[in-house]
Amino acid sequence: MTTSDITIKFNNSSIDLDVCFPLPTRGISGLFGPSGSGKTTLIRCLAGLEKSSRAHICIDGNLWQSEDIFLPPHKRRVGLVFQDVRLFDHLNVKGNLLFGYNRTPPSDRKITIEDDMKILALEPLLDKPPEKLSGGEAQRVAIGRALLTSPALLLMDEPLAALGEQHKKEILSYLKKLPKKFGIPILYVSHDFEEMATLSQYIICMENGKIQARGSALEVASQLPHIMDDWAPDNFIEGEICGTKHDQFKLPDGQLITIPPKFPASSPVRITINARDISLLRHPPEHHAGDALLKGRVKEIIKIQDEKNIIKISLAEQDVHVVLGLCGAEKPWLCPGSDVYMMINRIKLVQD
Amino acid sequence: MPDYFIPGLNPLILSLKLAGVTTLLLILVATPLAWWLSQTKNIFKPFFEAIVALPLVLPPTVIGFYMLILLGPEGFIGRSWIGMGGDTLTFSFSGLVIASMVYSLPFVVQPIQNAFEGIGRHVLESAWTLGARPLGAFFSVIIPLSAKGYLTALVLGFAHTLGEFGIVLMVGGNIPDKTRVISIAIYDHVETLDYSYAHMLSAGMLIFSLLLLISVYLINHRWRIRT
Repeated sequence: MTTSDITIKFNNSSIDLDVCFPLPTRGISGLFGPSGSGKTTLIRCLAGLEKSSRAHICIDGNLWQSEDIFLPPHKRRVGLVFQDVRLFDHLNVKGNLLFGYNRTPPSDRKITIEDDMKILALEPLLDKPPEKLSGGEAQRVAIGRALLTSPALLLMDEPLAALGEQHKKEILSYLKKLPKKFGIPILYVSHDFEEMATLSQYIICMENGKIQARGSALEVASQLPHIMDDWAPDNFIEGEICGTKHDQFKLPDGQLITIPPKFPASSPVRITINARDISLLRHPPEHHAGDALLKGRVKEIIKIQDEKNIIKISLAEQDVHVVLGLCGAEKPWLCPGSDVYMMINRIKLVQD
Repeated sequence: MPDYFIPGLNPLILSLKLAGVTTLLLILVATPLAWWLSQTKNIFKPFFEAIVALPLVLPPTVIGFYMLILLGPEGFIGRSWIGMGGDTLTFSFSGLVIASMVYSLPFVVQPIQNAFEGIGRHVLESAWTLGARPLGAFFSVIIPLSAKGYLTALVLGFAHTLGEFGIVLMVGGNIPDKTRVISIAIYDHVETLDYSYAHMLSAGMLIFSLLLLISVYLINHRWRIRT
């Protein structure tokens, strides 16, 4: 089993970077932090565009940098997608895509041009010059161009930051497919925690050039209370559609809740409920309609800060997280092992 | 070919040859120089830029005078040239080429430097991360993206060398078929009050220069429409 280890110390007038962390060799890892926290500098050091004073960079078993070794960028097998796209204006889309491909030794090529074009829907763009592309199209070409070098690590420095909402969604849907399809590990930089949490299984959080927390989105968020101010985890609950009007969602343990009729009966679906959209009750309310109430059992209470907790609840063998402000008075009935009722205020539907 | 078959042909050919050779050699010299100027963070950069720009403001006779001294058998360039087995540089075609390169240097360096500066470092960085070696990235990305700058440099360098007079007179003299370029020939004809020849050569130069510039502006215009 190969690993990726990264240790970088780098300082100039604007940043004092000092990080050391292992990087997953598969999937999308997120690098999160406010602007000026050193994310871009870290990415540039990884790509070999900045010569850090002391660094040890070993990616998937290949040593890129150590005390007496410094591989220049063109020897690193690194892919880099910039926020500002940076296509070559003197080449059309096809020329841009082939630029890196032609410079990759045939024995290193893991991705074919056909696959690349197919997954990013690049075929209709091939003959266009870069200035005729929309922002989203150009970023797709930049991603496709970087992928075609079959990099050992693909770095993406806020690839969505310059795009509008529509293009953002479009690119995100392409990005999600990449790790499974090509098996190339991605390090994805963003200052948007929600974007990061939907994409990455592993998040590294930076501030002032240091790593503050790393782990799953929830682990990072529970270590850094300020993240919880704007973000709460999504819960994904598996089940199936039933009912004559296709408006019932049945959990594996038989509990039912009402959902908007959107999918045909007996189709397996995942519903998404944000941790903020659940309120906890000790008893079922006397006059409730019964259509948005689920019973679960408290597993764990994770304290975030004085007024805030994350309650982990077991619901039909699945974990559900609820963000709860205690608002002064403690609720003594909320303790591991006790049964609670969850009032669901908002549901999003996803079909796999 | 004797000059009297088609009057003015030999000086014209000599002028074109001088301008062509000078411009091509200048492109080779100016490319690394312009790249260095566009990238350096040296605090003396303004000083070097001023040196490159000097021929724009100096009277050609001043450049010509110093070139005459440098290229002469006792001068630094002339002595080294003879030391490498060359002939005397003064009053020769080779000497004329060297002097013209100095004279036209800013006209070639500046457009190329401007083009390089307009591209910026980030394009190079993309090329490197896509696997291009530093020199390969320069030739496959920087030079094509600077095509317009090179075209401007070529035309300005060529036209400016074609039109020089003072330096040629100082360094090259007026030796038929060797250093007697068209501007000198025109001067000669005017001196001997041979106005009809002077007219013919001058009009020829005027039309040729105009055509050259029109073609450049045409190409530039197309470029702008396409992009």
